[in-house]
Amino acid sequence: MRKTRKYAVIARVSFSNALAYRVSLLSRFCFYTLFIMIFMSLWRAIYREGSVHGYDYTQIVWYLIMTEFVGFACGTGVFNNMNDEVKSGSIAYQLCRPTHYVLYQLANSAGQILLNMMCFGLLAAVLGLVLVGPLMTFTVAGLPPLLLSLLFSFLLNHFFLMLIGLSAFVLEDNFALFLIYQKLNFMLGMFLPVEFLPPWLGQIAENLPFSYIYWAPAKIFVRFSPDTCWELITRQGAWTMAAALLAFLTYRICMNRLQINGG
Amino acid sequence: MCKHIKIFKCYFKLNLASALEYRASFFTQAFGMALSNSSFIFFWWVAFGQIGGTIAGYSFRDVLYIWAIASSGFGAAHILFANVTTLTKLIVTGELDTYLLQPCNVLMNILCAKTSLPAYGDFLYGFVIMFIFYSGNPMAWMWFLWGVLLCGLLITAVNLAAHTFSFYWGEASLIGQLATEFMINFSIYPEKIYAPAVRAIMYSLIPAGIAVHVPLRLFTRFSWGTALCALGGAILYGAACGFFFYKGLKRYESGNAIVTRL
Repeated sequence: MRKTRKYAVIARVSFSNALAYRVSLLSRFCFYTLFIMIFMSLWRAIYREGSVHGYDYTQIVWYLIMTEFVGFACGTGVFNNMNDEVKSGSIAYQLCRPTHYVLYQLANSAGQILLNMMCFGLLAAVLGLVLVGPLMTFTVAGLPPLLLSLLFSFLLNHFFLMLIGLSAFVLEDNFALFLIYQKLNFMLGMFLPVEFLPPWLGQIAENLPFSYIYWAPAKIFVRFSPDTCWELITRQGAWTMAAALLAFLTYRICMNRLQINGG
Repeated sequence: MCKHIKIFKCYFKLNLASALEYRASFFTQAFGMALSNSSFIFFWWVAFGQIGGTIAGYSFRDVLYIWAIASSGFGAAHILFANVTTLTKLIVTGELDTYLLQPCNVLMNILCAKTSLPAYGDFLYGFVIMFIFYSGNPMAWMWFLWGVLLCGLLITAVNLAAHTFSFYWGEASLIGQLATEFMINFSIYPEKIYAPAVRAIMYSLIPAGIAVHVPLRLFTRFSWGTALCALGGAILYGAACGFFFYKGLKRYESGNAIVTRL
């Protein structure tokens, strides 16, 4: 219980810190709105030319609003922080704390994600309602599975970013890894629903963890059906467990390689 | 003029040498950026696969063409003039003093002082697209190179103007970031997806239309009038941004920071 409480305190402090940087939040509001407006214009042009597999225009705009919401809510800078800590050696200070490093980073991100979720959730709802009106396919019954799916999305993304951050122990420059991860997410769910991909690629995407960060919660939101929803959440849960285990294991291996010199 | 070219060359050599000092970092960042750009082409490939034909009047090859210009133009701007993105920081922290004290053109000295490693990936990416899709078409190449030149100049000018606001309002990095985002997003999508009012901005305030969409138009339907207007517009825009910078520079208040440039 005491152990849990200290991580809750870290999350609370991180929430307060994030709240203090209002200008940063405001700037991200601008970028979020900009991206939604651009993609809305783009999809409007695409739908003018013909229909697109299984999604109508309102659904695709809400889909993008949801995927961008996940993207912006996940924007905690965990990769950059870890990268800097490992490369500069300041990780030594973190290791002195009476916390587990992986859990510390998780609690630290949780506070920021909570604030992002509240702020961007509100902005997303307002933008969606103003731009395309309410989403008729979404019901209140879909809210609990959606929240669960969002939780798994954030965790899965967080552990992947941690793994890439931890790769700084072995790689001179891991920025390319981060870019590859980011673009895999773009391609496999963030910009396009997996259903839009050619069938052979769609099958591969469904068997990779990356689709479960953006596509799964967005699909549950815009095309809710109880059967597919629980199947998606189960897969998300499984991938999250796997990523978490891998992150703890990698951290342990990296700690064995760590050399700290006094100074 | 000769002095300016000399400084420009000197900075380029030094920046490249310093980038190559960390080869692994240089190549991974450049490769990562090229790969990153490919994901957008993937998006278009899927979108055109769903629709077929054209989207907002652009075919898949047209989209690749504007992507090639935007990517290489952005790359060229950030290989040669990456320091423009740090202008706000230089102004706010008083680090601009170092540049003012040196016996050469201030603007040239500031712009060329830094390079960006991922920008090399952006620059090469446009050429790779051109080699794959337009290798046997000299006209396509000619307007592509023209586009890269104008795009590089205009991206730098837009960034310069946006960061110059720091002379007037203090910290204006948000304006700089927004201007870059607008410039990029106006460049990489068909212009007709935007409303007429937005398109008017694309040909005036944020001239992505002149930088990227006009070269495509010149390649498909050449007209002397369009070419000359685009060239004149770009030169005027660049000159206006330079003038705006020097006007703002008069408001700069020196600090007492001691800065060393290594």
